[in-house]
Amino acid sequence: MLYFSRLKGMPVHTEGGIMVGKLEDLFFLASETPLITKLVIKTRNKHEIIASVDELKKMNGAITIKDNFKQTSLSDEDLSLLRNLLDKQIIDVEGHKVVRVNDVTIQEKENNNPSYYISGVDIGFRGILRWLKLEDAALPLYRLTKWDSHPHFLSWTAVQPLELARGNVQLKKGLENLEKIRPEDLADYLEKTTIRNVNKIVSSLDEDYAAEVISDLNTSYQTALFRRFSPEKSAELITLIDPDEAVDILLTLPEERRTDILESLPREKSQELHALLKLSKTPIGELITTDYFTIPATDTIGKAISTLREHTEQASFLPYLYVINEEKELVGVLSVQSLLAHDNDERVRDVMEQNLIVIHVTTPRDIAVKKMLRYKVYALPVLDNAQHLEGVVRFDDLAETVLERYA
Amino acid sequence: MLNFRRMRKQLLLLLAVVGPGIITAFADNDAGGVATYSVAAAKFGYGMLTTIIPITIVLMITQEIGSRLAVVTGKGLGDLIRERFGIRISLLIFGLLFFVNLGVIIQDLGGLKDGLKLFHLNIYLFLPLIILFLFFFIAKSSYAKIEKFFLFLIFFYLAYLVSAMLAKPDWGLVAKSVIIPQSKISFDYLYTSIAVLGTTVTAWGQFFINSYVKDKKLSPEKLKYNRLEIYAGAILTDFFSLLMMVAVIATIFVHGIQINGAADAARAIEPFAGNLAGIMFGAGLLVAGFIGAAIVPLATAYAFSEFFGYEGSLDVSFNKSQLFYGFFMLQILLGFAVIMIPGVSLFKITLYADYLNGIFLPIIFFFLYRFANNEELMGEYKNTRFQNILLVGSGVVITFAALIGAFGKFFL
Repeated sequence: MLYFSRLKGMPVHTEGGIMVGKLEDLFFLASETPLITKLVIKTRNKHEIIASVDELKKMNGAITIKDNFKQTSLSDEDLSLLRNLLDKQIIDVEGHKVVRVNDVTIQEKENNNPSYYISGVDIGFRGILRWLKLEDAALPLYRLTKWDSHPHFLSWTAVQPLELARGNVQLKKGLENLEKIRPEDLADYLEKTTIRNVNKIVSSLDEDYAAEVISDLNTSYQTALFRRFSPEKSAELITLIDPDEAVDILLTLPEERRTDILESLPREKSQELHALLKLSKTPIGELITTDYFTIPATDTIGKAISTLREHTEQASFLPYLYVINEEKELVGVLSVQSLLAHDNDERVRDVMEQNLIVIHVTTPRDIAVKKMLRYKVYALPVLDNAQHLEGVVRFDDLAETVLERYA
Repeated sequence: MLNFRRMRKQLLLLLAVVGPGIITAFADNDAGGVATYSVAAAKFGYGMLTTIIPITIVLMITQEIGSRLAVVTGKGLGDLIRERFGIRISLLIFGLLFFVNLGVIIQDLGGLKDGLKLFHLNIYLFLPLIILFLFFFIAKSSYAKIEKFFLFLIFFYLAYLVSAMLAKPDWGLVAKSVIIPQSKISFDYLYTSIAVLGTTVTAWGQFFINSYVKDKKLSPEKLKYNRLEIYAGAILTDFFSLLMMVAVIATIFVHGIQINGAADAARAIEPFAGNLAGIMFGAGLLVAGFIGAAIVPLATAYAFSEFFGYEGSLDVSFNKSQLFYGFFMLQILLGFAVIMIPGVSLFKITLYADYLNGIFLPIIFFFLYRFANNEELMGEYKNTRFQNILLVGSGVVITFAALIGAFGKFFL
């Protein structure tokens, strides 16, 4: 295993023993095994020469290249170890935190031709000492104190660099480790980088995953992102985000922008969001989501289960089914659990809970929380004056606002 | 009606960004600041007042650039230096920062100690108690709570207003001196001016505003309000510095008394302006010491986690950020150890620390300049030419004044 800290600045000789210069940087391809593709050599008169890794004879101990090596140039896929990785922040995927790269380790592949790849990064204090050429001097001290005697290495598969872009190159590869991270966590990490980077990373993610990440970012990042997206792209993402979150995002945007996005949405979705936007000025309005599930009172349990099964994929959270009559008035509620407890041929109206716990758009948040806790329900239906469902408020959204007050 | 609603909305937006600018600016007037301003005012009188406007301008532009950097890039100054200049430069800058900040922490704890003595409180009991409180408060509270607490403490600076009023200065002369220099420019005057500048526009303040704004997670769209808040903070802070100096000038300078620190000043004000003026001055010193002792080590801890990549945020729990909070505590304990050495001259440490701060500043300005003009980092939020002229200009002036001042101080 080679350390970049030891390679950098090492003299580069040709096989014939002529000194070309000193090693300045290495370029690599962002992929599952990041192969080193090119090396940058700084000559004595500060000139930079780029040579392909194929010209390399040996890198272990001393760096030797072929006598008649050819110079090459950079391609779009090349990433610089010095500029894209070293000293930068990366996500430690398994340890769930953002750390800084102190050193990079390079592994030689056993082949006829030597080939090298980045095996991992050192995020420990010893990585720093190595740059100062103090690691060996500090070793006895480490042994003596038994403190931190192992270097902190992370293998390449366990990290996700956050800034894998050179100039304006849009990166598609190299982000495969990202989707191992829970979207809530990734959102946290992204908040530690620039909005431009967030934009790049979010744009290269799978759309469903990207939508989840975006809905977990804090509002200022959301606003900034949606200002950068085209209305069409915004609309596409908005449909994938939970309606109550989507409304929050829309509310932070300037009015013009908001109208543009709403107009780009499918009609049904646009109407739904319009309605929620109107409600958003009420005490509980911002928390209302239209992501709920209704069934007619006349259905059988069997029918209800099969409709539920059909739609459950699209819904984010549904502990309850709301039962409506022909006038679309809310007449009862049925938990998924009690749905399963009854026989398929029973009627919904016979088994549903008719003693409803409901709130209205004017209900203060405190009261809503108290109702949920008192009756142990995880979502409350919000009714208008005609007993029609306006939406549902979920415990998790409400809890968040309660928590904020104590922060 | 519509207009009123619009105004209300603007006000709410402004309130949402309040914090970093005002807190950092006021912390610049920490106990060391009070001491330096007092000593400088006692020595040069009305002549020292001329420094206020230039200092305010430098404070305004540098804090604004620092905060803009943090908002646009989402990174602190430490992050940027590490990422763009590598590990060796980072270690060097961090080492300097740690050293300079330790000097400031010693000033602040010293100020606290003197303030406690002034009110005849037992320092062996109260100082450790205050330190313990500080530690638990910072480690256990969230960002929002800590911010509110500091904003509340700032009201205590009004004590200087009372002090200055009671000192009955010649307000006409005060106004005149702010604009027209009243003092001959000597080496000592230059050296003291740099110290005064160094106590207000601080290296740690530059790091702190950056990290703190980053921790607040403002979006670039709020920059306009953020800028206003920073300007307001700088002006307000220096208004209080002015009052502090006025209180000293109208009493101590006019009667030609020598003082060696802020507690001295509080004592010396009493015979001329009355008990209340002295008490207010002393109370101001206590609060200033407390704010400084909390914020300066926090600035180093933030910088440490940025430079070396450990998690560091007021919103991260103690267990996850042990190094961050540990580092915070370590500095306070080191400072505490120094001020408890019998016979140590806090007065000398004060002026040295401020002077060091002053000469460290141009280095920080260099980094600010490089980052704030970087197209890739800042895009449309790059420095304007005017901002660059002010930044480079003040860097050059400070460097020269610092060199000449030091030359005069140590060799003539």
